[in-house]
Amino acid sequence: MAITDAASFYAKVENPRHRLFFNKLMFNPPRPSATWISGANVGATPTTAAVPESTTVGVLGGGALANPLVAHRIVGVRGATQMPGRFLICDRLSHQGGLSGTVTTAQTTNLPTAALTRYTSGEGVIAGLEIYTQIGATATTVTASYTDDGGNSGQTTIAVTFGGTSHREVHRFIPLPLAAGDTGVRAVASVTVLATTGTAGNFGVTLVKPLLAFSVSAPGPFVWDAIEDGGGNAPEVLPNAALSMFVLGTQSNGFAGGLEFVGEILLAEDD
Amino acid sequence: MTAFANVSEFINRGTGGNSGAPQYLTKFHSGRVNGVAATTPIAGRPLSLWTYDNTRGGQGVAPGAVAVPTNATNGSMLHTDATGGRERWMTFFGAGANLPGRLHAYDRLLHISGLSGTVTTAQTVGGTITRNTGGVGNQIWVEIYGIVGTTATTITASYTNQASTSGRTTVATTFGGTNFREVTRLIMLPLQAGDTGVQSVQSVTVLASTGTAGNFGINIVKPLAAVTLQAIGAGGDVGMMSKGLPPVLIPAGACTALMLFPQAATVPELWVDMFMCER
Repeated sequence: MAITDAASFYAKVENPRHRLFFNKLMFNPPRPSATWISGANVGATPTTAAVPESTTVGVLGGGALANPLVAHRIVGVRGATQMPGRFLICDRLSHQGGLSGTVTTAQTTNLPTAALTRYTSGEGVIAGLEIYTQIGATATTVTASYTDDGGNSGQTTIAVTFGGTSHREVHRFIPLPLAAGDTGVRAVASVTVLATTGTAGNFGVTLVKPLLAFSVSAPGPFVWDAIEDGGGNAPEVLPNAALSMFVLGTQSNGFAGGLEFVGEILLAEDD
Repeated sequence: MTAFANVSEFINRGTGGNSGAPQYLTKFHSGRVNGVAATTPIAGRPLSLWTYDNTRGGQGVAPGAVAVPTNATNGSMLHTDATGGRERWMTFFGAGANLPGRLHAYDRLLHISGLSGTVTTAQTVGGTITRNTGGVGNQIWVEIYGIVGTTATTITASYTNQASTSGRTTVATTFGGTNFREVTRLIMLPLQAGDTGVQSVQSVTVLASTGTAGNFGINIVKPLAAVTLQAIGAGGDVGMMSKGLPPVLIPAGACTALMLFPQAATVPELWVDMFMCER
């Protein structure tokens, strides 16, 4: 299915099938950060492996879809932000928590990740570590054992910085680089922290499928139009999708005021 | 090559109608190369992201013998080629990073590594490009894979220009020494007066030894699109109907790779996005 023409598209922008309103506040924005556990619709820190859905608390506009089993498209995003930044809207496919920043053996607590129910091939799915409680100040590296988009288990991500300033704060989302040739992830089986960060904290694995991204160059209102700004990318939102936002903010680490933004996502069905 | 007829067709194909096969490509570069912190870039001087670890396909590698990379070569965006006689078009390009700068997407037409910073005779490049073979708009870039020496000298290349005239020589440019020797540095070679492109490179010559062989290579590239990353985090994006990006034809088999002009001496961490569809 698709949108037939310009008249239909702009009619959908003006009269979307749904408007998902959201309101978020978060801290430590300079590197990729997740908004899951902040804002007016605060998601819970996950424990056991689970698949978030459109009605899960924490999802943007949580539970607002009248019929979550019908695929939609994002035709626009409108809002206002207190801080410039780059905003990514993703389908949050799978998450878990309860991992430690001090355990240096392969951690399997609450792993493997819950099997994907959307984008099940894993193509284009990004695996990242999401920090729910601050870990330690000692920088080390972390890797994960995963199943790639071809169904090959036992793949290992490339080591990436973990712990220490800018890599330990609550909300931080640390994407995991994949092994050569892999273009996505189906599941993560274990996570290994090379050396202790000094504080256990609490972090987990999150699997996401990015749908769109846009930059906001100045504080204040913004409008993102799928055609004019997204180059025609009006991404399909699969039934039961758990829309979630990730942010690259413009302030240095430790920005005391946090990042506040409010907005709405315009959803429409295909013609 | 046929352009989109109108906005309606663009919208229809971008949402999958009429075999539009839309593809949203995104990947995060971690600021590391093969699991180790990447070399700190030089502010204002071009940097290759070819070997950076990332979330889509893993990093590219030093190619060794001359080769023609494709859309299936790790280090590129790994897009899907068009089918059914259609063509692939890029209609959106954007990124956010931990530093300001300007990010370029280019088609990596040909590459070679294993050249030495101490050999002062002509080092053979060779090979044959298979895309944009007329050469107009193609450029020659030096890419450093293993640090060369601290002694500054100059480098030139012998090439065939867009008019099929062989024996052309690039204008000597600095090679070696601080800011011109570091791993991941790209050094663009200026073309001879009047030339607007390159069909092939026969050889490259380092005028005097830099003091360390290192490992460098030559790329023949065709720039595709660029976006300004305005500030830390904010990044930027360009779309077909705003901010000046015309639809960019992506040739069959194109190796869509990335080059950054960093505005700060900060190891870049980038989240890059592209949108393509077929016509």
